[in-house]
Amino acid sequence: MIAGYFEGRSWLHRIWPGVKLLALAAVSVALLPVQDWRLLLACLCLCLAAYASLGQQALRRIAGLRAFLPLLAILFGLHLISGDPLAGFVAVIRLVLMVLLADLVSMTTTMQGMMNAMMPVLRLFRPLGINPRKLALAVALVIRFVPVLGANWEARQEAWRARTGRKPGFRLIAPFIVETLRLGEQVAESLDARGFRREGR
Amino acid sequence: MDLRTLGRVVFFAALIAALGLVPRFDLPMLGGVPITAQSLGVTLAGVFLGPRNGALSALLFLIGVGFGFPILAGGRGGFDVFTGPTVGYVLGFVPGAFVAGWAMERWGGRLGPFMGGTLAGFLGGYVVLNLIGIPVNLWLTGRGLGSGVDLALGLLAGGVVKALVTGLAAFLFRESLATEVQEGGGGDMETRDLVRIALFAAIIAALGLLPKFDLPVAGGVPITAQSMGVMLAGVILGARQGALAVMLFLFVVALGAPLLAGGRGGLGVFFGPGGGFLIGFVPAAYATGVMMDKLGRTPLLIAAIFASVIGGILVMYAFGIPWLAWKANLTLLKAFYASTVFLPGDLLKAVAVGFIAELASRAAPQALARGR
Repeated sequence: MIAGYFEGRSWLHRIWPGVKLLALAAVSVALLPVQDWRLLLACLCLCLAAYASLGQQALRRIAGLRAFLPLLAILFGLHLISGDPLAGFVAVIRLVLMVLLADLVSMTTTMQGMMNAMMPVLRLFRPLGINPRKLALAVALVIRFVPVLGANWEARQEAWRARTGRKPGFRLIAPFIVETLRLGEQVAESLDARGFRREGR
Repeated sequence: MDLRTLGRVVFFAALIAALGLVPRFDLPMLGGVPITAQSLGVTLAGVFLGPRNGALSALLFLIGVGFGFPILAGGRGGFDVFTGPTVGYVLGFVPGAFVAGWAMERWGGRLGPFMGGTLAGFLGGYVVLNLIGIPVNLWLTGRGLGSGVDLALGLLAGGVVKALVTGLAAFLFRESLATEVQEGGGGDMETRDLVRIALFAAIIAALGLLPKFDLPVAGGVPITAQSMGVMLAGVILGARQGALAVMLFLFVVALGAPLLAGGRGGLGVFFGPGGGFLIGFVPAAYATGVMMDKLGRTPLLIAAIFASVIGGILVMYAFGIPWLAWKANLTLLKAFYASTVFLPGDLLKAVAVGFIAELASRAAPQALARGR
């Protein structure tokens, strides 16, 4: 949950992404009605064993669950107040288990692999007006522009600090958005100039 | 009929079948009348394919049922369906789809995709289905006219909901409607719009990577700017593009990019207790955009704050709280209490969105959807 894919050649890396996604969906449906904490705990142990089989790097990822802890504590607390700590325990274990399982898939699948696995599903939606090729471009644009916008934001923040000596607040967001949308116009123009539209038809 | 049309007809027949697999919602306020999603598929077929092909799609589905595939809601199938008490509803699928398509052709152009789709969904999915379904049901079960009225009233709320969903779908996918209802211009999305949507998705991501503001008023709950990005998407891009930008953002997150606040990403976040809030991002942005549209004459600052509260808080919580209750085995009320810790922060964000929109429109009036 802390970050996506990591390089590796483990058994999980080698399984075809579509199979992993289907298995994840099946497991998530199967686990939902389970109320027996022993069964869930056993599944959690299995899942942790899978993490262990991937090596140190994977085990370190489990620490990423920290971000979750306050919310889990609130949930458990609410169950405790209503006098049913066991139900709280079950809910918490199931949540942790599902998040760890899904991360297992994300950790061992490249974004390209994930995209390829989703393509057949997306093609089904073609009659509804979703063009897989344009979606691929849009995804690539998002991934490419997040660091660009990040750097842009940093530069703005630095300029603000240098001139005012104060901490920048939300007032930098408005010009940031306006400039980003202007940047978008330019990107669209250059895409069209390079014949993206004609090919896209 | 060309291959593409045939593909669409088969697609919608499969959609009707798939919607039958959706579990029934038992809405308590409806007095326990189960609502199945199947007739939604019927009206969608009519609206998107037109009367003739829509009816053909429904017919194709019925042929599938007749051959014994268990694709009717509740997993029924086979020939007995056509002798049971609900046979009127099942056979009504064909005229239902036809009337939905006809109504869309007739009024879609004047009313626009949303209102036209809703009307078509109501006429085809509620009026026609019940006009055929109820009399047949009464005749076969030997009950009086009074119970027919009860049935019609009991199904009304579900019918309205499904009609609204049909309208929403018609609006979201108006490029692929059978009839020309979109205002102005082309069927395919402009490159400009595509890039705008992609860059706004990147903005939502960038806002999540900002350091958290730790506001003392919110009782130490960390506040990220990410859900503010969702409100901004609706306010600045409008309903449709805003919702698409948020969908794209979530899609990239699901692919594994660590773009959520705190550097999270991957499929795991959707399975967590806050997954409902994430999915709620999409209708939240959409509702924010719709509210902006409705408040076209209100001063921008007020309109943006109000729209953000409705979309970014009310609609988002409406998705987030039931999900939290479901995933964590809590009652709805308890899930609501657990969510209130985010409320002060979200209110502050809505106000911030108002000021940001105001500033942005001064810097570049054409940047906002409402300015054009």
